[in-house]
Amino acid sequence: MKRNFLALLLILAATSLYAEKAPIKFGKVSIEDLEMTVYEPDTSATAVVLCKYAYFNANNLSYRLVRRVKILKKAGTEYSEYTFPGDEDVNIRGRVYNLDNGEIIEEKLKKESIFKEKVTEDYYRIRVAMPNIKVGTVYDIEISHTLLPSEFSFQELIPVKHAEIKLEESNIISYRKRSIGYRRITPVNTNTYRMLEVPAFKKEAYMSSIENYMSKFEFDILNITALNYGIYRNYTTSWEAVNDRLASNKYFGHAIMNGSTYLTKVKKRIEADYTNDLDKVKAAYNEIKKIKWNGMESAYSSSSLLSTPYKEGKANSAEINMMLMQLLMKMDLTALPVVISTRDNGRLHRFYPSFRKLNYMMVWTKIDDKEYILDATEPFLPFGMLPKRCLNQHGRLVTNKSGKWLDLNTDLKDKDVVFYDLKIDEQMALNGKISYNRYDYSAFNFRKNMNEYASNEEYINHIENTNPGLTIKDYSFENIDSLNKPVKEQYDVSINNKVEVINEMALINPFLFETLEDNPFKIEERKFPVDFAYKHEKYLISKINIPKDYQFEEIPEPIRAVLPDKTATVLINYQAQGNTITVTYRLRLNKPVYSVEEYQYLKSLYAAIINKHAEPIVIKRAQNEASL
Amino acid sequence: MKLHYNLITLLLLLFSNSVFGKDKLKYPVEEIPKALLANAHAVVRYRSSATEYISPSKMVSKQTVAITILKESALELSYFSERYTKLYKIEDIEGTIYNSTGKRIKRIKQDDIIDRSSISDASLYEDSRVKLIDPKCTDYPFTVEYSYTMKINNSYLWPSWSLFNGMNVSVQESVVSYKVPKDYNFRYKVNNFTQKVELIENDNSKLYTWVARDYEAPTFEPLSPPASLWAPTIIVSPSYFQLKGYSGNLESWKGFGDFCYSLIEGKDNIPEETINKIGQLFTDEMTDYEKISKIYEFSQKKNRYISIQEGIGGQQPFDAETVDRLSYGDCKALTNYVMSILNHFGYKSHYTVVSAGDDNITVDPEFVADSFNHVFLNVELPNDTIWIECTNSHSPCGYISNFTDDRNALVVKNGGSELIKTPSYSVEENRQTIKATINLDSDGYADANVRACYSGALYSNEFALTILDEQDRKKHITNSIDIPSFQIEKYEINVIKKRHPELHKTIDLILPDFATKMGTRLLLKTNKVNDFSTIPAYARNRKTPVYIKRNYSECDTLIYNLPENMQVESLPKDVNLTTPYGSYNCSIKSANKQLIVHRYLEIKKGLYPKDEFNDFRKFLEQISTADKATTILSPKT
Repeated sequence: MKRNFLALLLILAATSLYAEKAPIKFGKVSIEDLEMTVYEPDTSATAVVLCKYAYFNANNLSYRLVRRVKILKKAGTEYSEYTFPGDEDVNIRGRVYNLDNGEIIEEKLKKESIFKEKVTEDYYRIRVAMPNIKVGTVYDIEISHTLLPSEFSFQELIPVKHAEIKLEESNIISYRKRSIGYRRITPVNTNTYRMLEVPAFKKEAYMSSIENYMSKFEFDILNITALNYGIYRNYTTSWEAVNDRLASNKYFGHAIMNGSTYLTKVKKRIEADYTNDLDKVKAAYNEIKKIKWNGMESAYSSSSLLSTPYKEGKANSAEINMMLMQLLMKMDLTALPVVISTRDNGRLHRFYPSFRKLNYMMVWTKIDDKEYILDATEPFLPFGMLPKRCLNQHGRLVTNKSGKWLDLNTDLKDKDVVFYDLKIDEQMALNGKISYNRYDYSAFNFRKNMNEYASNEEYINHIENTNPGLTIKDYSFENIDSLNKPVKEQYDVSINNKVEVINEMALINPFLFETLEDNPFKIEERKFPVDFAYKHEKYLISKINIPKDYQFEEIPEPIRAVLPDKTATVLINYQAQGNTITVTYRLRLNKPVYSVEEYQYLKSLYAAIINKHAEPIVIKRAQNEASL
Repeated sequence: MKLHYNLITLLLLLFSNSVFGKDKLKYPVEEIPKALLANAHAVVRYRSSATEYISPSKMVSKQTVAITILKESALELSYFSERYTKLYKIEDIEGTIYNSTGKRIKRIKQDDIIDRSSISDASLYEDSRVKLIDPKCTDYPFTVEYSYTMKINNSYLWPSWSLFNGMNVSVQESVVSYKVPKDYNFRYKVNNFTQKVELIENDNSKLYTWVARDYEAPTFEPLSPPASLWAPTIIVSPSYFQLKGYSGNLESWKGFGDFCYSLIEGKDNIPEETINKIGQLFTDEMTDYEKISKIYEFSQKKNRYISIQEGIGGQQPFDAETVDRLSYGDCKALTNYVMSILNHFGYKSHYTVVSAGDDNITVDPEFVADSFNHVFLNVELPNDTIWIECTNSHSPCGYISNFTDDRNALVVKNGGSELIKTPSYSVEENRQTIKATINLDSDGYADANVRACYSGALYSNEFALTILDEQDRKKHITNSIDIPSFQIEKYEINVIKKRHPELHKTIDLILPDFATKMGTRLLLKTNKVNDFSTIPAYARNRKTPVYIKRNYSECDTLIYNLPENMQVESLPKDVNLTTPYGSYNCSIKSANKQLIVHRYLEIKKGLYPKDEFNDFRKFLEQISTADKATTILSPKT
């Protein structure tokens, strides 16, 4: 009984301790931390954050972050320099601890190691270099300021042993936090969140943006009513509120609702030429595409009048799409704005509204019960297709009610159909025709790429120069300007280095320029999904005719591989008849995004393709009957 | 009637000329000569650079540039971006934008000029700033015209001039002039440019002017030397100058060295305590090299490199005591620190300025000018010279990487500075050696033990592996293996740290599909472990010579243990190539159930005539073909 009581007391003490006590106290470094030479969970770490603790006091609106770092290897000393936004209102303290013959030597971070960078007139950064950093050093840095920063990250480029944040609430401020990343952030109690032994963050190939993956909180201040702030500031509270805020924004709602007389001529011309609504939308889309995009991604116009950028013939992404929207509305067609965050900017969170995450605007329309999302920034983009940067899961439709979510995933693919029709001559060169049919994203990328070359000849030169052994004797392109049709390329070629002769035998690789040689997924493990943005398909038919005096000696076995649920398939087949062999190769990636669990399948699928592509067809000179 | 009509037109024309005279067309695109459009993404229509030396502490340079942007790839050239520091200011900036017909469409307002800090990613802090203008124009083609004044508070920094404005940029007209007092020794060097100088002298001044027209856009060429070797350029360098309370004379390398010496003089205040600590590390048996190593290692362990560029153009180090106190510093500060200690112990060591980086042709020994960007250390021993890179925390003492090898460096000595060439690595020294044993079975499956050794300049590239954490290290090793399907069983890295260090990398691999099974045969590409495949594009009408920066060699010995039941059906023939650029030998012998492959590749550094580019390319193509040769195995009968 007594024992139990004591245990209870201890538990109470422990919980209250946790509720009250910060996990770290600035300047209180233990001898164990200094003597530590290796961080067990990651023995190769060059440095480790022993603890980072942030505390937001909602009564005086102060925010304080304390970080303790241990340097384990010389290469880890680079993790003792900092650059962060802030000027006079940011306080920095630093202490550096080193062991010298068992004795702790403490040193303060002084002014001479703190640099203030005036980035622009009203934006400052602080740059700090901690002094006396050696292998074995432990240092503390404390950064304090008013109000919340834009984020608190639990994960860093080096491992974090203990990360914790205490976020108080009060009636003078309300704010929202969004958790980002693939690791769960566990609440310890109502206002404290903790993560232990967080591994170093590593970037992987085919990721949309590290912003989507690093474990952190992002903060949005909703409103502040503190007296000394004078005014009542109202910020984002819900996606509905974002909707309202956009509608009443000078550079969004107002810009769209402002006069569009500058479009009158165009409107009349389109209405004179077309009667069908869908045709009108298409005509409007093509008309606005003539306005050049200045490369700026934005959800807002740069002025509230769109007539100026229209007359100048160039505009940012929002202005272009707002013009399109105005033109559609002028013709009494349905048109509403869609706001999104582009792939490089991280994803929008369905439950945690954020105003500042929006960085792009597109147009939604509905014709004959069919919905379309349009972006008029890319001249080579066909009607109904979105550029890769916009394919970021979902976007928010802005309406005069409360708005709604729109799915941005596309069924359009990156698709190529390739034909080889080639004959091997006496010199073992391949001669004949090669043709490509490129669809959707493949066609778009091709058109965009072609446009980089001054002429078709320059493009052909480039192809020849980068493919030794290839001579293009003649070529033709079709549908380069018909965006809704696949691009067709035809080449008359001679290839003199793709057949390897060994004595009486010769080896032929029928996949030629479509040969996969390098596995994009070499790394054994993957922590984040593989994000291709859209589906892929490759279909090759390779027909090769061998010289009369040769016969097929070895033909590779066909393969067929399918991922669970047919999310990806590959098929390679060989068919020989007389002196001709036809090889078909079809690869389909039926999903834009593959999960971590599917990574291993994807990796082995690619390995299977690469192996098959490495297998040549063996031909052998037929034995002369007289010599038998 | 006809006449009447013409008269009105004429009147209108006159009228428009007089009233809208200010709006007369400037830089219409149609006036660009055809030849300048070939390969051009932008054309400099007019550039003028007029620099005047007023006094040793005052120079003014007026700059104007008008550039037509033809396509998006040159959009960045439409931005105004001029850096400035405490040594010169950028003032009186004006900008105007013209459309393709030459009509003015925009004038830059003061509000459009952004002033911001300009700290490079590699630095913690710099006091340099930049003035930026984005004209926000994308209506190609269009022309931007900027003019500004550089106010220079010294006579050290002279604006140089070049017709080279980046790849794919032509120049229609460029005028450069320098005005100096009559008695001033104006020093310049003209490179790759035949235009004669026009010199006008009067009672108290001299005016040097060059005018150039119609420079056709250069294009990128693989293996091309740095632009300084082929671009028309005028380099200007001071004779007597003043710089923020310092002065000097660059008429000789010695003079340059004297100036550098004045910047570091008296900064060797190394604390007594540190000297004592180091003294305790020595023993009587140690050689000079060992003692110098000890000092270097002491600094490597104690200090770390941080770039902080402040003060006299980032040229003056902070003193030894400060480095000792903070345990960090930039190249100048760390070099001064190590030098101060070495000199204290009686080792003659010299602060050495160098143009560091992968390119080793940047300093022209014939013309004294400041084209340096880095500082390291030269230690003079009676029978030896040791070069020490003080910013590196890991290198062995005396190791030179491709950052400072094989180039002229200015060794600063009190009153006796001189230009000295740093060591160059031979073909044998810059070597990658691979020894591998591969056990093959009849399904094409193989396991391999691959041992690679890197020496010379290659050592530092590979060394980067050792400072990564385990996860990144494995990722790097995995990505460096160019075999389609493999699994790493085990790997190990050993560094042999000595003056000429070596890095040994041993990897055990499983190669499930190493040989390709074709029916009963096995096709084996024996050089898959290390095959050469990057061949530059064929060149038509090449303009620049072929520049191979470094000697290099690969020496591979591969032993294949063949499956019991298989025999060699066909072996590729031996290949022996000898060219002026290097040589290649590959032979595959079959003996005792084994295949033994000897492969040797050697590339010789040099500057080869442009006409030989395709010969060099052919050499590479032949290597690539030989490396891809197939050996055929078939079942024993």
